[in-house]
Amino acid sequence: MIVADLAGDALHDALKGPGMRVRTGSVVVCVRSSLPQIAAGLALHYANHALEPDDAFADFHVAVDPPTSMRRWLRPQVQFYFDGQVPFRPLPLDQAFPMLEWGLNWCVSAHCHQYLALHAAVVERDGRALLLPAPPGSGKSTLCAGLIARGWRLLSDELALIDASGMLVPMPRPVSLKNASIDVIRRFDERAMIGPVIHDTIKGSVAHMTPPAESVRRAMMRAAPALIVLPRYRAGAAATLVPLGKAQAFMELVRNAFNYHIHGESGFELLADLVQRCRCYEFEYQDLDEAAQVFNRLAGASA
Amino acid sequence: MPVPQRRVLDGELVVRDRSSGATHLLSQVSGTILVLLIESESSMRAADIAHVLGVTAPTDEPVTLSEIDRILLELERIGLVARVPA
Repeated sequence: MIVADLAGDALHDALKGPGMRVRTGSVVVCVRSSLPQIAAGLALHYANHALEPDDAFADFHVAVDPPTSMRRWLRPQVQFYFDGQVPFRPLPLDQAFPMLEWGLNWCVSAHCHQYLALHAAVVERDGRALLLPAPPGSGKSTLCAGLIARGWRLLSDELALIDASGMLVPMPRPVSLKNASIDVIRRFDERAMIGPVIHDTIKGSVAHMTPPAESVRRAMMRAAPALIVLPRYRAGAAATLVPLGKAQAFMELVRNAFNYHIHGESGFELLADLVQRCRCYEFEYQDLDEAAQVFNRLAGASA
Repeated sequence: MPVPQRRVLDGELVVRDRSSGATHLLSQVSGTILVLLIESESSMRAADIAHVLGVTAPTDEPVTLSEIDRILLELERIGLVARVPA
């Protein structure tokens, strides 16, 4: 059963009641909410995700609901609950779905220590995965959205999860687009399903793009890392790929890791092995079409 | 002190300090000096290192004693080597 199988009010009822156990790759999240924005967001962006039975194990139990304080009457707000705890400050009510997404990212990066987690987008083509580690604002998610529009499989636009054998673990969820990149992707891919734009968030204007159904369907298929590319959007830049030393690439992965310090010696070896088996580059771009052509050539060349 | 974890990637040395968990990318000379110290059976002075570098591990540029002193201080600052009493 998938989320789209819940007809009419069934989805909203499930969210208000026992919660919905949504599988995102190897992680199952039990989501509860009384908010129609959450029901609408899940219906649009998680339509193809598998639903687990109500008694199935869930890695995380989260809820997105108005806070219980009187403040909710003054200015409607929304709160993210994690196992009954409140890890974040509340946000304006219209940011309910982004808050769910940000909260889920936090759940995984702060708790899934069976994986080495990096702040990186991951896409895959022909069995070879491309890691795009980068700080916020580098154009990582835009490039990721552009590549999946050109047929690459989405593993994640935000979290590279590396298992003990060095394979990349998929967690295909909505791609978070910000500010100008929202219209860039609308123009680039007319078929892209992009949800409502939420303005004035901590990250500016935010909208989410539904992950491709095929990526969700293949969410249990891990991928072997083959390419590490440090992307950077720069206005006016021609799409340029420059080889990067493996030691520099290694240090970039360390800088972009969430839980490298927890993995200790094995994390060091895991990242060094990963870098050894990849070709590494820096990449600068402005035009997404040009960028996609470069990566398609790169994927072909690494075959 | 514990011997740092190390890997050579494309000829460059990355090391992880087992005590602090900090990870560093070392220059070629710094990496060579650190490996010399790790593999040495006893402590070494800057002059000993300069001698070994000149004989067995030639670098692109001759390394002066003052440069070796500077590197040793830097390696000590980041916790990868420790000074022993003379």
